[in-house]
Amino acid sequence: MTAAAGAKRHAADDRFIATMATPWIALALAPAAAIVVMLVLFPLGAAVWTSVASAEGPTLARYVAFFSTPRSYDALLHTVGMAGAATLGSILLSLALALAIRRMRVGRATLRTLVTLPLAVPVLIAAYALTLFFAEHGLFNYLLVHVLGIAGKPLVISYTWTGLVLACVWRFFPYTALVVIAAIEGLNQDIEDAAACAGARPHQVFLRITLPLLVPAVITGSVLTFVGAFGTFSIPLIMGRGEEMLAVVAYRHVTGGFDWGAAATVVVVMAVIQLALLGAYRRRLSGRS
Amino acid sequence: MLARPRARAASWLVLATRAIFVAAFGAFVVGPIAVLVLWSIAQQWFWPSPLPSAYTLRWYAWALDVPNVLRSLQMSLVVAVLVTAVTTAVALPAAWVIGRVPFRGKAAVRAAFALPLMVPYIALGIGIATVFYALGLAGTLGGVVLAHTIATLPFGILVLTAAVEAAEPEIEEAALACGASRWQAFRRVTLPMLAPALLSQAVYVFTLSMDEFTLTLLVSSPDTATLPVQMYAAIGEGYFQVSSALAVLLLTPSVLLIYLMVRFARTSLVSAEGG
Repeated sequence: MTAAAGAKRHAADDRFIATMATPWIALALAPAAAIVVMLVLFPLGAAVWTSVASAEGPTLARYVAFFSTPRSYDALLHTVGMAGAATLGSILLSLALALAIRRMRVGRATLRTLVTLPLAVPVLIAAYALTLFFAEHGLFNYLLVHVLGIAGKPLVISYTWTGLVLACVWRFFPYTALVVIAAIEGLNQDIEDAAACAGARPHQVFLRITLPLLVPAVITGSVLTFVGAFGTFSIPLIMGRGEEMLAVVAYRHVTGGFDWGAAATVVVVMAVIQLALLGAYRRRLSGRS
Repeated sequence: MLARPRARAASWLVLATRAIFVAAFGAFVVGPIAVLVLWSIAQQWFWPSPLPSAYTLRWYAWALDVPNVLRSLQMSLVVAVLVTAVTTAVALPAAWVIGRVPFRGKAAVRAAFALPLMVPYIALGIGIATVFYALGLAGTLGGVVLAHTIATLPFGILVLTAAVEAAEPEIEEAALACGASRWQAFRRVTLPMLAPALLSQAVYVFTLSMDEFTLTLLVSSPDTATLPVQMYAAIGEGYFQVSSALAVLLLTPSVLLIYLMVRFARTSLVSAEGG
């Protein structure tokens, strides 16, 4: 673009675009803003209020109860542990996938489709399909026992904590895999080749060069996977000994006794944990740039 | 030029390991869906047999006979149409302003519109249910539509803002310079440019609404239960052939629509609904 054209462009901006009056901007944003205020901020505020409300004014009694009741406190540990384990599994799976997809000559497109498939399935249906897949007499156990011969008899996976981890890997690993695969494909292979030329063995190249370069992508992807697994409701509702996960604990407070205060306490704790994680991630991002 | 190390032929061991890994991964990803489809057409399937020993389509007929299934399908469709209309009408002006007009506080506005994606879905659900019960909106059609809209709006704004940013302002400016009014320029120039994005946004929002479960479970009544809520009830009954058939019926349009969208609109979005 020449300087003259640039100046003209700016003139055009000034004339037609930047002159849009503030009231019109506000009007265009108003409906969406109203929905966010009415259906997000107001309900979240209502949840916070419900969690502290009592006849004698605001109280923290429900939070004290949450952190001193083994059932809810264990649920917190199980939920964080489950999301952490699913995230770890997703990282390993994604790294392996990224390394494989990079060297593949055929089948790349198919592998990519496979990576996105779990996200195209409605989460309730995914939860049900996973329950059937990991059932004691399901296909997964058939593969373990009769095809691979790894296990002597069927393992109990569905309705256990391990089953939830596997199900959450299935559902949420694509968030990590998509980011990591994109990162490895954008990597400059000359750096790795240089290390190899200098005599580094393949595993040294991977550990010293490739992996460090992928760390930002792994972190971004695993934040998304963790948040997905941490907040999942449908999967533990269908296949968990559901009570153990926080989201289901909150729901059970409502269905078993209409204890909205206890339910609100659970989801406020969840929201605080998730927002703290996302906030830390954001700070890390802005700290780097 | 030096031969690059990676150009060396990979050893058969590496190739075999990779093939085994890819096959295992494929089985892991496709397995659950395959099991669902097989159960929906299985007349008999006894352990330990990898496949059913007899097949039938009977369960699909039964699935449609489950009490309230057709009514909840109708409810799902009505809700999805309304949600798509509301989301598009609300998201388009917001996206146009965010994508085209410079104003102060834009970053904050964008962050606010992404807020529903930042908190756990169940927190949103419990909060909305609390408010809806207080306002008498719980169990009503309007309540279900509003709840869905908060789930779909962030995606609608995201998709449309990206489209507005991609559409070149020069063409609109040319129309304005030639004497078109702002409305005419928008209606005759910008809107046609946005049509493909509007279509894929509508398809995506429609699919999200059809599949929404968590929020609907919390705010609907038996009268306003959508198909996923009805399916959850059917799962509780324990007839897994019938539940599987229902699940396949609900799954097929989602996968098909998203496949078509990825294939033809080159949108890389996938069903990222929460819950």
